[in-house]
Amino acid sequence: MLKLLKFEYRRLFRRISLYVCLGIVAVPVLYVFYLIGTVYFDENDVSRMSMFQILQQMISIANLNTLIVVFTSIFGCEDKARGTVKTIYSLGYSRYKIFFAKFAASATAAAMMYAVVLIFGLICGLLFAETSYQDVSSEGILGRMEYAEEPNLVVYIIQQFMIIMGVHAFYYMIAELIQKTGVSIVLGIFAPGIVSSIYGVITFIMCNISEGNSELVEKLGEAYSTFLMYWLPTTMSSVVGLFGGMVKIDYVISIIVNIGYVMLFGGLGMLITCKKQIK
Amino acid sequence: MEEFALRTFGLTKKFGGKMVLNNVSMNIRKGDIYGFIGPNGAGKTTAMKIILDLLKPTSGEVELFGSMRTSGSLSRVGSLIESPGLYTGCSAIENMKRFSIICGGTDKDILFYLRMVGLEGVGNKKVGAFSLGMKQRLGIAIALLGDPELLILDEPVNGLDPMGMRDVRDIIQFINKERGVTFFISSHLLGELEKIANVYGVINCGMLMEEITSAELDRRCGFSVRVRCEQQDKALQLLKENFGVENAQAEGEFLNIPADPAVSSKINEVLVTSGIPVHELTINKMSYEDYLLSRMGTLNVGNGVGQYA
Repeated sequence: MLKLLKFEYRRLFRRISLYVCLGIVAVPVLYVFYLIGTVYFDENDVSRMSMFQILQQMISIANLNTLIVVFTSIFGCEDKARGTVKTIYSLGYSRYKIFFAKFAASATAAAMMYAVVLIFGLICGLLFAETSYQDVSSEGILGRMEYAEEPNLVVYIIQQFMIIMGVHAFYYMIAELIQKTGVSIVLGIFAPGIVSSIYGVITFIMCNISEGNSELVEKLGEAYSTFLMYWLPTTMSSVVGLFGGMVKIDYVISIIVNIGYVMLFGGLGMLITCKKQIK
Repeated sequence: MEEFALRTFGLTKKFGGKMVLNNVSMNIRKGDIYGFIGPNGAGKTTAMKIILDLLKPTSGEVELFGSMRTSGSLSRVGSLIESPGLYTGCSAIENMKRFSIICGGTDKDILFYLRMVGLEGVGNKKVGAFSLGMKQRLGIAIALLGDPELLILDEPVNGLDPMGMRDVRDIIQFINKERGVTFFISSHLLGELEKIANVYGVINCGMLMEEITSAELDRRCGFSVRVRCEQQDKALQLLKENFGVENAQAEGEFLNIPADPAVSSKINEVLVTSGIPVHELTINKMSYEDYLLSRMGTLNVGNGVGQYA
């Protein structure tokens, strides 16, 4: 297992595309850093941005979703494209170990991209943000949020990291299934949205059918809203929770849901790898 | 001690409804250079992929080094299947270093194998700029990493010039002789296999037609005397009466007589003294190629494809 990990991490860290992606992440983040520090920063301004708001801005501008789907597809499909898959799979290592090593290396790349955003965001926040007390009690982490109240910062950071890991697991599963870089990228970008749309159409049709039953229609609508809140493309949004009526526990639920996505899509990816025949 | 490096029992593979391999049972002894011959599409690569666990057989078993195939036994096997899998954005040395992590081998081994395949001068060159022959050599070098006991090579001389082909043959013979490594080599170029293999497996349409040692093949590929003469019917009768030759055949102007070369002068004497003019007499030996073609029906003979009804 260690040999496989060493092999994949060597492959990862010698990829120029990794550093290109990290650079692409850093550029807009540094631009926002510059803007916050020069244009918007005023020491005497009592309503200046909070650390949470700065991190939100950085994550939004970084376009992590697109970069992760592109890099994961390239990395995940490379061995099939180059033919090196024949050598790797014929050495006697078990398929699930091969999958785990590749998955871990690819996830590390996604984590590194997030880390770039986080590091610059935290530095920017430490320099320019309004400091705020972080309530780490259970009420502070799980309690009800008032309008415009912010979640616990650590919970938020973990939540965003788990969203990254959840979408990465989905994109890696797609790459293992399709094994063609271009198609994997396209499917990775559009598939989550297509799933949401299909669910939306089904909900619309069922609501129309159940027009007389207002309770059922309301439940269908709530189910769809809940699905949208936690399904892959929407969980990338960092504005969830800023509007009235949300609770801090939503962030914790989001963490749990994304752990579930990692296990679900990671498990499916492993199954695909174990069953794959190298034609 | 295991007698066989590789055995298969009833290997069968279907893709959809199409039977690609049909009940293939082969036996490769340790130390052999086993030439796996068959035309394009015969099932050679499919058989190799099943042995290497790249494909699952529909039925059948694979035995490696005396026991059913396990991850441990596969780690003793090196392979090169179809075109070599290489990271084209990296140098030859970087490719070798990566694979040495999972295959085994030290930096010293890397340089040794690169030198062996004639790539020591281009170790730092990006593989994307390599010719087909250079990539093939690098693929062989990677297959040698970790000192495997069995090497499975699918068309290893593909894309190589005659000098390259000779170099690969020399490498195979050297490693087989010095280290006792068993080779399982597929090719449609019988001329190349003939020079190194000591056992042949002949496959066609997914079926293993025959396994035969080179000694047995030699015995079966006998001599014949070819005569161009008149009065062929009378000549055939005389040959039967004087030499007991029952299976001489007329082929156009010629009579093809399976016989030892030593009696060729006697044949000539008998025919001439019986009043049959002999215009031409030659001694032929059936080639391996002719024999194997007769077992197969279709074979790629070097640059062209020989098609037989």
